[in-house]
Amino acid sequence: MTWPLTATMAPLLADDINTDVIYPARFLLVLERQGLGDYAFADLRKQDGFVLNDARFASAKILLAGKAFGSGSSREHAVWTLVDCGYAVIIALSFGDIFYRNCIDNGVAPITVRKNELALLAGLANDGVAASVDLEAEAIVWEGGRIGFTLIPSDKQRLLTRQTAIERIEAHSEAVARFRENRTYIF
Amino acid sequence: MTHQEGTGATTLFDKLWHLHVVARASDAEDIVYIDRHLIHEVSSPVAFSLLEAEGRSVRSPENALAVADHAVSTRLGRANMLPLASKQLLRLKENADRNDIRYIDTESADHGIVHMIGSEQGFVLPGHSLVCGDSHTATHGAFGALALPVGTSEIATVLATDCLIRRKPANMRVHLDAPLPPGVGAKDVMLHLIARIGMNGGSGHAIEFCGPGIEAMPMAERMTLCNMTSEAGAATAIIAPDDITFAYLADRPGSPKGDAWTRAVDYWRTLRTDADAIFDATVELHAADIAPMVSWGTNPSQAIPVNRTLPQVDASAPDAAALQRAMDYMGLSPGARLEGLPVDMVFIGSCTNGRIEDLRIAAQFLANRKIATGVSAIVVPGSAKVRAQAEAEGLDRIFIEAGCEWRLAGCSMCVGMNGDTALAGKRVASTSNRNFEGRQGAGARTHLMSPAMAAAAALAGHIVDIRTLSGAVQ
Repeated sequence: MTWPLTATMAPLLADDINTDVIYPARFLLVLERQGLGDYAFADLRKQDGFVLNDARFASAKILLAGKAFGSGSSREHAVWTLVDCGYAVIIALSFGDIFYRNCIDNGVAPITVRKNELALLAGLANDGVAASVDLEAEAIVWEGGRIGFTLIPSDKQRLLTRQTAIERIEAHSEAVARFRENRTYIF
Repeated sequence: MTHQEGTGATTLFDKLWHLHVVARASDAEDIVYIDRHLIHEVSSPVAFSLLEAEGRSVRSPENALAVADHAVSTRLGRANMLPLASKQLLRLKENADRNDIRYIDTESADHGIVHMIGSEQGFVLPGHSLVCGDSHTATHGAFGALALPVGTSEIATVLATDCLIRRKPANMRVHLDAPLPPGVGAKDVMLHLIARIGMNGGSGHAIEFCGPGIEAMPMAERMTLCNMTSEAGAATAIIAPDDITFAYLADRPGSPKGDAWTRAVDYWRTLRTDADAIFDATVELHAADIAPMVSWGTNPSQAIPVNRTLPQVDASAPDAAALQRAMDYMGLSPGARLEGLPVDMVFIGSCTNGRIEDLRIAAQFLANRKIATGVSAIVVPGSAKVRAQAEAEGLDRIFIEAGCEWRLAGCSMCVGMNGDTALAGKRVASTSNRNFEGRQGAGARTHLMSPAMAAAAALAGHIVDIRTLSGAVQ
């Protein structure tokens, strides 16, 4: 993944899309994280007129959603399936806490915006206008427009460097070892 | 040296957090040491593969416990196990064996839903930190433990390093002013709370339950409370340990013994919120205001007291479309009554309400009675221990003679991954924790409620206000 990312957007826009909707439980009997794209929104896809069935949005790399996107179950498959569908950025009004962290762990940028900003982006999406997501500058930019956003610095760093949590913790391995041996709350 | 934020009045959750901070990872994040790790078959395979691909080993296998629960068959002999579920179970066993992690077999007397065995085994103790790759991990906060739900990548991180990198959540206090009225239980408290603060009302917060109402609750009810905080989007839940906690933990396999037990209890008594600690949010619950609750919609916050009617849909409100959609899915209308609504299936079980106490309540209703014609009911004990205890008390006979199926332990109809599902359009009275569209089967209509309410619905063939039943029992 290289940043800034310039891509078209898919206007899902709905509120309260939980991880059961993003990735139904019946597909959890898998042993790998690759190749799960077919299962994304599997039950919504059965409905006529589901926005993501529209071929116009098939190559979008940015997903637009409403509030509480990814709430509910902790299944990381919800992120893996979106990655497999080609999404690198999710722009929403808010995210489920666990889903948010799972995004960061997989290099997917979870960006929070306000309602009027989402509406603006939805208009662009429907017009097929591509936007550029610049993590460093914390901005979504398109011809004639710009929306700023905020990422917690460490989340931004994780997305840009793809440094894993394991690597970051290993930098403190001596402190961890000392801690392990001195846990006074273990009896 | 542990990192300290300051020495002012501190909440229990903050004390536990700081107790486990090894170092600062960044301005906003701490490296948190994890003492215990519960592992199940669905969220772990990719974590172990990740470690293998990187040539990493499990740092402290003695801190982990593995069990298959989500997709195991609950039928006798574990019959009709889905092939992919068997494969996943086998993969968990192989991963555990290869890494010297204790694996509890489905036929073991210690088997059960992952959040049941954590408590039964005394695996999670006050003051400990714990992770599990499951959103209901907060259940263990009932023991005064720091219980954090994690995704698969974080499972790998903990396996490799015994640590997590996290931002500390904020603190929310939920105070219950008195013991609950007859017919009202912890499940009703949670459906009441979530209806009040919303599906994301707890987002970014650890919820501490406190007050006389909490202090009066046995561990089973405390676990039900903590379990369902995930439905409010909370980071986790916590309850200060007390004599009820210590009585539960005494003589459990993982509990300290002898002199160590005495010292442990002395320490555990110090695990409380300070008198002047400041919470970021507070909710006051009045026990007298809480009624038996039933969910009517497609998320846990869409719940009402059983004797009320569904809300009206204000067409101009921003959530009008979503409300209407939920009602359409559930085959209900604005202003509809829930009392008298026929049910087709009843599920008593899950990590929310699959404990012996829950089964006893259900059995009180079902004793010497038969469930209504046309209703099918399954009772799924949360663990082999609960099953054995229930059989010792004759509860299984009660369930079977009433016309229910008596199953083996597993997540079963809560997540519907093992074939325990309902057909489209069927209404399920369920003691589980989520009523999302399609969760209990494509088109299945879930009504969340307490074990008492579910048992009463099985008998009547429709939703009932248990307080109106003559001789109604707690």
